[in-house]
Amino acid sequence: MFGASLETTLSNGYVVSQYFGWSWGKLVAPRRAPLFHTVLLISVIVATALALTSIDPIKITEYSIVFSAVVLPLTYIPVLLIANDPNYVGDKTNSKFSNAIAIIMLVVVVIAALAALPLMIATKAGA
Amino acid sequence: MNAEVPPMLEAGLSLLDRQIVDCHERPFAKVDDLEIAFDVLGHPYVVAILCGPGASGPRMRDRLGTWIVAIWQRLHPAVDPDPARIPMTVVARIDSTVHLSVDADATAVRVLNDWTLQHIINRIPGADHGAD
Repeated sequence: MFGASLETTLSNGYVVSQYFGWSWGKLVAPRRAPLFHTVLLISVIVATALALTSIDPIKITEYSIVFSAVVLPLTYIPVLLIANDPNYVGDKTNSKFSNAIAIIMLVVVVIAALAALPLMIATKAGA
Repeated sequence: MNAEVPPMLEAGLSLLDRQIVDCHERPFAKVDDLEIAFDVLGHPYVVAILCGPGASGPRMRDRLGTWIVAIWQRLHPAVDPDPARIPMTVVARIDSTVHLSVDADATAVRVLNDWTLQHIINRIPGADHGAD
């Protein structure tokens, strides 16, 4: 549980810092990446406040996982595009074979994303 | 101007929203908008990179953008602030990232960074520990 908390806190820092282009990283001194570490601090405070509302953590986890399935294509597609862009990866672009596998997986990911919300409602999120 | 900055490029694709790193390869901002001028023949060229909420807000063209600019203007120490700008003369190289030939501290785009450093991070014991 402690490890997962650290990981999600860092993940918040990475997402916000990389969106705005700030300096980031768990090995970078806080003085070198003040905005990243400020985001970490704010995440811990907000998460603690949320936990103190006595909301059921298992329910939050279930809903979060469903919504992460819904947004998965939005992260999957950009990564696939960049893996084919020599501007970013030089001569290490995807082979035709890896692209074929990737597109088959993309179909799976999109089906899962489309099915996630209707399934959550139909099953009442496992309740 | 450096030879590694291409003489012609599609600015919307290869500049806007790209990561900017300083001369130590440290990331610190993104290309939020561009300052364009026209030469005597009427050809447009990029004069400077604009950064921060003052540059990204107007690009949103909706109420959220208006709010972002209004909050930025209110918090900014200047009365009628202009967006932070990085002149193209300090751009050393453009690939998937915009590389500068100067330190990030030499640009005026790190106002929020410096505020959090001064008021929050520097007060934490061990703020110096870790990689440079």
